[in-house]
Amino acid sequence: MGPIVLTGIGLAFVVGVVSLIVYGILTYLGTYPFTSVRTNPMSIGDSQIPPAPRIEEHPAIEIQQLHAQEDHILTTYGWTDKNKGIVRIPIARAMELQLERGFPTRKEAPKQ
Amino acid sequence: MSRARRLLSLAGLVSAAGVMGGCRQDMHNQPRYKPLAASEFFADGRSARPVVEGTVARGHLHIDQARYTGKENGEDVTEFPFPITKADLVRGQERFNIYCSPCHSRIGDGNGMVVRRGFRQAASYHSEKLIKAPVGHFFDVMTNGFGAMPSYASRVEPDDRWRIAAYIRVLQLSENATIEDVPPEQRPALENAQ
Ligand code: HEC
Repeated sequence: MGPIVLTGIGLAFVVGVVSLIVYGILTYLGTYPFTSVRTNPMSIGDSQIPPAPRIEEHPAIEIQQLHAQEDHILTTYGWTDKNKGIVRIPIARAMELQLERGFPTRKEAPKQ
Repeated sequence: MSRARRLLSLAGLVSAAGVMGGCRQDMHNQPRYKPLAASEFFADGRSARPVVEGTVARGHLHIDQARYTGKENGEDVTEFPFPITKADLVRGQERFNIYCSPCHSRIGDGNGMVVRRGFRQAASYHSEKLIKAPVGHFFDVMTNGFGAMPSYASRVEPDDRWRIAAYIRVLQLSENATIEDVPPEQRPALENAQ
């Protein structure tokens, strides 16, 4: 017998043995009941949400919203505390008023 | 001398001049020390001379204590070192919005975006403590930092810190005004508002 034929027979034998082993494993596993329910303990119960602050989904929109709120406060009249009569005025108006009233400034000229 | 020899010696002279021109040394050899090189000329063995004691770099002579520390004899000053104009306020507003608003918010309530994203709660300028605080205190906080807040001395020039302090005073007034500060035509709408 030539070496090529010998190798062919050897290969066929190995393939046969492996097929037998795989068949055995599959029959053994076939005795387990089939189920589609996820039984991993990590996947049971409510999904866990990490504590705030969370990842920003839309950073640009969030900063826009904050700026819009701030702009509203910085440009409108309103009440800080209506019962105490404390009023909120636009920042431009506050600048004018504060300039009229003046900032406390020392008499001495600034030095180096 | 034959004509050929004269020509030959002339050519020799010209080429000698060319070669010697290549040997010029006038500015090519500069007798100077490389930085930090040693020298035997000075007693301390250094080629570089130390600056004269008491030397101050240009623009760094800060003898005006109040202007550059916000304090005088350890106490926060209560007055600005220079008169605040409209232009100063506009500059202060710009600097404030750049450097302070990320944490303190543009309205100064201490709920800027960085705080909303988990940083330590920043102070609200509308608290009684900070309304009463002398201006020097704001200058000092910007210069040296305060608690979790870092120093802004390297980012905000001293005079700009005063301008920011002036703008904070304006922010404080804007949320702590009285009905007399509201123009008469705006008052009816306000009376009905919440
Ligand atoms: C990185 C965020 C951050 C920025 C930017 C920031 N601050 Fe603050 N600031 C804080 C926090 C946080 C506190 C409270 C500190 C604490 O309690 O530890 C504070 C406190 C303060 C206080 C109150 C000090 C007191 O006496 O209670 C002042 C005044 C102040 N900041 C001014 C400023 C000014 C002016 C700027 C801009 C130059 C600025 N801050 C920029 C975070 C910031």
